[in-house]
Amino acid sequence: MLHLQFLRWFALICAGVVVACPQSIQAQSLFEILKPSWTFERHSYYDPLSAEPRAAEMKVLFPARSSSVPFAEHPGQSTVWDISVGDEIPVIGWTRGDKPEGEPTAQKKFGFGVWFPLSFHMIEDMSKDHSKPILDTDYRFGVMLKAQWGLPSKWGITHQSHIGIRYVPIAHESTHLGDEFTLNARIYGDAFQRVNVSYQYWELGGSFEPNFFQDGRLEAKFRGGIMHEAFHGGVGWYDAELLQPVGGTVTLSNRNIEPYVGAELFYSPDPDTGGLGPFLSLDYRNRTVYGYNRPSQSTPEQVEGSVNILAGIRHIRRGARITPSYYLRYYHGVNPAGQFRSQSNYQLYGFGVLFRF
Amino acid sequence: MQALNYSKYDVLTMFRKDNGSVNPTAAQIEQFDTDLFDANDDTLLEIMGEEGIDTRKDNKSTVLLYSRFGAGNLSQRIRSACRYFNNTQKL
Repeated sequence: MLHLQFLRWFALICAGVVVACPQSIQAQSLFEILKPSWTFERHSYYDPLSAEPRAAEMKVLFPARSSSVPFAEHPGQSTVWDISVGDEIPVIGWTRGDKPEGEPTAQKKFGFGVWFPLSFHMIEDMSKDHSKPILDTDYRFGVMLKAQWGLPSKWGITHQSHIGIRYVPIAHESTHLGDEFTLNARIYGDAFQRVNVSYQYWELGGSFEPNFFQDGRLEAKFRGGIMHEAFHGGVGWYDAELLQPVGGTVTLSNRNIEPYVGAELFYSPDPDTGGLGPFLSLDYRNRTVYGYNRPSQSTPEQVEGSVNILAGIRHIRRGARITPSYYLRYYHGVNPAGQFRSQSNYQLYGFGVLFRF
Repeated sequence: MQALNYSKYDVLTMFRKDNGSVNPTAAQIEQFDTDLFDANDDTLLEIMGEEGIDTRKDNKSTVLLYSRFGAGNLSQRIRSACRYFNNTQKL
């Protein structure tokens, strides 16, 4: 299996990098080398892009407007709020050199760590349907490995740049329609299909994070990667057996991979005073449009490029523990929420706040 | 303890902040000092020069210590620390 092969190679590369530090090995015992450099400390290795649609972060999008979803009580756009609650919890890490909390790896140093990403993603219809139903809630958790290399302090025209990889060997996503939404959908009778979208996946991404201009105040992040459904015995993103109507079935998925790219630019405010800095964040995914009613599993699904753009300002305050970002968001593509991933040409836009801790 | 790259009490202060150990060995402090030098010294020299600060050991140590409390990336924190250093010299 591809991801297991990669896991072995990843471990070998990490071990090789440690072994390739002869001075350190001469100076330290094996015990000291294996001793963690940090535990339960924040370190900025491959932080998620603001536009990453299912990152384990704290985001509130409100007010927002959304396309109507399949089996909604009424047609037309609705006012919604879309929230993500979660965190990438840093568990343990190893690095060499200077390692103040909250910072990326030092120049010419390698860092590696294990994170526990845990998040909840909810969207609620606030306007058009009876009892303002929660449309969908998605739950995610897994294991995340991140590695980062600090490029020389001045590398070409960049300052304090980094390259990194993020590998999720296994994670789980469970999705759930809202109970009031399900009750409202009784008007569709047996035509209403409640699909159990629930799966495991692995993910691999690469990152280049250069900073430009004086003191590297223009901070850039470039990302690319793939997400792959896995460990589900060939079943795919969702079960064939419907939750509702009982006894009903749908066609299993065929395309179980979703590649993505992303980029983010942030112009940091004056370091003396802190303040507001503009940012632009973009995520683009080649997503699978779930095809529940295809003739057979071998029939390929449609795919649709799905774009998520955030533009706004980030408030940097020296010594503060919370960094808020205020933004306008525009999303277009496959509906990212649970079983609604069968919906293409979905649109969501509004005002939001991202809180980083 | 061997000669350090930065002033002893500044190094001890930064070690205390980053590591929390109340009983460090001389070797740990020396290694910490070396790590500080490898990660910060070239940026310190460059930005202190631009800000007109003599790059003596005691000045570098003070600026480096100040930079541990700033916001932004390493260059931004050192730039801000240099300005704080300059602005507080005649107080």
